[in-house]
Amino acid sequence: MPQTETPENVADFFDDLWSRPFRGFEEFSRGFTPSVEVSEKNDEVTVRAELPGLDPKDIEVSVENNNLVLRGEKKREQKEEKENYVHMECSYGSFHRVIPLRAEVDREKVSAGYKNGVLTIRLPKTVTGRSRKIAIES
Amino acid sequence: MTGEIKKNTSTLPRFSPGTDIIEKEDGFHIYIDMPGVAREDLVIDLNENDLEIRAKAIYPRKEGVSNIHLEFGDCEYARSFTISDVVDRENIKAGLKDGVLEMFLPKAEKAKPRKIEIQAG
Repeated sequence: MPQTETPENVADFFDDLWSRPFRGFEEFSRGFTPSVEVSEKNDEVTVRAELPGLDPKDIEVSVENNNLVLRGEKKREQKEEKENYVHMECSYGSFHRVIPLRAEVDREKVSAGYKNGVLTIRLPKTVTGRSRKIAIES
Repeated sequence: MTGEIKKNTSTLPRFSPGTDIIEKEDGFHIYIDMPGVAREDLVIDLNENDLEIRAKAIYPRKEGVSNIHLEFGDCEYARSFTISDVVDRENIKAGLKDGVLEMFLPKAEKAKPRKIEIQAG
């Protein structure tokens, strides 16, 4: 995301709309790819994904070949008559994201929750505490 | 285009969140993607003509957790708009749902389209 602190003027968006009438269609063609965060502790892998504005019913979560797979679609509000897209930055569309898991997880105990537009998936490991210090022989 | 958001004084990275603006007959509908933001971490100020939106997304950290892959994290969102007299500023509405801030800026009566009756000649 670009960092900016520039204010905008709604009237400028109108001017832009009239000068570039097909701008909206270019922007709608961009896909939507959710950002993810993967963290791990001794007994569990946690994956978070930014999915603002989705209905949880439109999100599919599965574990396939020790990969976490997220599929779904971010839908735009249905266009009504007599409305103009003045300014469009948000991305919409189908997404398909595969996240490799470094540890084996218990697929039966995976849980997922959705809050404030963030999906959190907890994947308990099948084998815990496998990390150990390796003694270095002199 | 006038006005400025105050300098970022916190240590969090600041982002300009993705924004859609749709004009309908009754006014402007603004949708701002702010994943991770809770209602209590969102501030909307209207000072004169400057509509300023600030929010924080904070993810609580637990002991003994190591990060493997990070594409997002704690951050601030900031966005501001200069509104004109076209907007009825007394009746601006805002709601936060599923990480999306939805605002409605109704048009002032004088700015709404109206049909002109044609008198029979």
